[in-house]
Amino acid sequence: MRRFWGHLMAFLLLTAVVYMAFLLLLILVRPNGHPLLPDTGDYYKEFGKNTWAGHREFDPRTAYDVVIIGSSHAYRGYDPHIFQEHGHRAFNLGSTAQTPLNTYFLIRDLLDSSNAPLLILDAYEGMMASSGLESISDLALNQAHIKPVLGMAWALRDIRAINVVAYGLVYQHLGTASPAPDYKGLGFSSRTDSTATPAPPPKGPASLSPQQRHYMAKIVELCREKGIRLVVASHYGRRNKRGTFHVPLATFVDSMLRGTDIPYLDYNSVAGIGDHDWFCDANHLNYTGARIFTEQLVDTLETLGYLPRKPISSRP
Amino acid sequence: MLFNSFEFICIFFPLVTGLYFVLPHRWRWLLLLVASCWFYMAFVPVYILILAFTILVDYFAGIWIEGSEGRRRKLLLTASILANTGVLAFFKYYHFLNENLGALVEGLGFAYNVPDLGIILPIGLSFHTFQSLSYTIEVYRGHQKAERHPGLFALYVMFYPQLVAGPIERPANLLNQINATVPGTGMRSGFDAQRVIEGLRQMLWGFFKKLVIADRCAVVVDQVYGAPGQYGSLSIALATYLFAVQIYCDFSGYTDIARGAARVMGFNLMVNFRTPYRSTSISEFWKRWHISLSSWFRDYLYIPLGGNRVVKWRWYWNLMIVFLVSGLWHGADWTYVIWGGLHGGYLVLAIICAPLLARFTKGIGLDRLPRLKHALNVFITIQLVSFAWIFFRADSVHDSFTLVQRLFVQVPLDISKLIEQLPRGAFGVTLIMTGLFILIDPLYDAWTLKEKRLPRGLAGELAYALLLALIILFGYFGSASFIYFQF
Repeated sequence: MRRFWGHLMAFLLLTAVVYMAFLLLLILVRPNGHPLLPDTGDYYKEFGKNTWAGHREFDPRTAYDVVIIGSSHAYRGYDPHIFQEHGHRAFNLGSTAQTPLNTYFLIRDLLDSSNAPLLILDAYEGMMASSGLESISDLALNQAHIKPVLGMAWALRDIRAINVVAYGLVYQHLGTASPAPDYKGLGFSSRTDSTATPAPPPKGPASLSPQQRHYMAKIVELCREKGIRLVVASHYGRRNKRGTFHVPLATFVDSMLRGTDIPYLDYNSVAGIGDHDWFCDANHLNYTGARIFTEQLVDTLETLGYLPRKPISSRP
Repeated sequence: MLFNSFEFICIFFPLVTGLYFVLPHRWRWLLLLVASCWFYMAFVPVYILILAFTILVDYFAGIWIEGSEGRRRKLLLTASILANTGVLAFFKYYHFLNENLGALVEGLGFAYNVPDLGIILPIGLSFHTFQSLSYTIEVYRGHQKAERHPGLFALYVMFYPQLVAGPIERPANLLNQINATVPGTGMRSGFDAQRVIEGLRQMLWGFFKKLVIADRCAVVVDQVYGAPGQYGSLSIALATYLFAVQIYCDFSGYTDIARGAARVMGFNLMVNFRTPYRSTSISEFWKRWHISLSSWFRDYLYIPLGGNRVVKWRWYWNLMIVFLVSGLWHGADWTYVIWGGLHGGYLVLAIICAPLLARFTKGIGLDRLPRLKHALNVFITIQLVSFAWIFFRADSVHDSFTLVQRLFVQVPLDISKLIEQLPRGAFGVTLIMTGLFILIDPLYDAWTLKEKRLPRGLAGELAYALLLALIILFGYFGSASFIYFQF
């Protein structure tokens, strides 16, 4: 038996060495100036751009009044500068394709009641059907903290997480990154163009994966334990992402929050949404849309007492 | 439970194997039986009742057949066959028969209102039905003693490594090992580090075939076969060859994992594949492909029909019957019937044309070039088998004929449209990995089937470490099931 275990350990060690050698080879070989590894699978993300800029700017030691978290829906839809204009220190910790699974570990390891007394979680159908692998790939490459990435990689139970974490850890020391041109600071990115594409016909209801539902519920529990006040919100949706499509998410969030004091501020289908002028693509608000939405959100949060309404004279 | 799932790799397999070696020999059957139930019930729990029915029927049938003679003995065997095939027919063929009968009756101008019951096919039904049937037939023939221990018999039908996709075992091999009549194997085996390592290595090879080759090929194949009217000759040919690789790696990969998992515990399951794409004829192909099924049909259908010891037309008839039934065994659809018919047709044609071909090869002097002749035969066999796979893989008869028509008529050789529509990296990595596999597979089979082990020491370790690294780096983890589960 001892011989077997010794053999197994030696084999695993040898595999780790062979694996790393392969990985390095696929990173260092750059036929078009880019490493070869991302061309072997569609789940590898780019080094740099929005997450890199936002998450490297984020300082967990800073006492923010409010932190926004979620996917690109969050970092393009919620403008922290509007919060600042109202006298609230804010940061947007959204990242590409971030799902509730990823969000849970970011909150667990980076946030508490001292740096995020109020947390706004963007609930978006698009991320409720994803596994979270894409986000792990993005975060492993582009943010500086390893602990949440390892946590989410283990929780995912997907062997590809090994690749994206290994690639992220190695390549962030070898590659060169630059922020996305549309990065506006405080974790917020925004485009000024308007979409020219009409919304395609409505699809069926959005699907919500059991794992992401589970992590949504865990986020609520975690925030309660950490003393973080949580607000769940959904920003404006384009015509085809309203009504039937949005119902499963709204129903789920409502039922999940029943019995808690956490509000669900659902702006998905409010009247007067400028489908053409306020969106830059099929899902994301443009600069105008984000400003209008964030103004409305801040006003609601102040009205509900989640943020103090500060006199204009005290605002920066 | 899937072999390529987290639950199997990280929980089920280590737990069951660990407990197996910790428990005293007399309790191992119970552990394996409970584990097999757990494994099976991970799919559709209630379908365990179908297995229980099969086990009960054949357990008592075996004992009663052994104790009877003459007409009664035959009657009991018939009852067992009817009960087993009845379950198979109901769950697997009800929808197919109902649909076709409905079309026929309505075509004749009558109303047809028999409802479709929306039955979900129990996983691996065809496999364990055939395995259980082989037991009663062997008892009837006097080749096998009836098993008196209901637990051991249940384990023979349900042994988890080969429960859902074979190999379809015979009682002479598996039941005797479960009964520990073969010294040093099966239930009485101790922990043998070398054997455990060899079993794990075989599993690793199976995972490589499934995750790196089969599932990657599937991405390209599904793209083309999912839109048969969109692609030209080269794309269809490429997808068809890749499907030939995919189905081989998917199914033989499953078999390797099954044989490896059983080997770890000291059980030797039968060999199911012997590099089938190196066959020089269709007849040889069926001696190398899904051996446990083709030998089942040979022993329990072809030979009882008279085999080749009958007049020629009857021999051809027997071959066609066996392959049409084999087609239907694979799936309740006309595409599978056509696939089986094609293979039967190939064999009949090969027999009819054999003298002509012999004269032709002699006439052109090919006989004097045995290597070239061998290579040509392998090439032709691959083409014939691949052509038949079109019908096996297509979603409908209409799709299969569309593909065949476009394969020969729509000749643009441009595959850029196909490459564009695939996920990033899918095409290049698939071709590289498939090429690598085509090089390695014959070597691996030579090492393992001819009892020559891989080079020992660092070279052997390095080979398997490389395999595991390739699985992690290039495995395709988006697909779930094994193709043969549906049969």
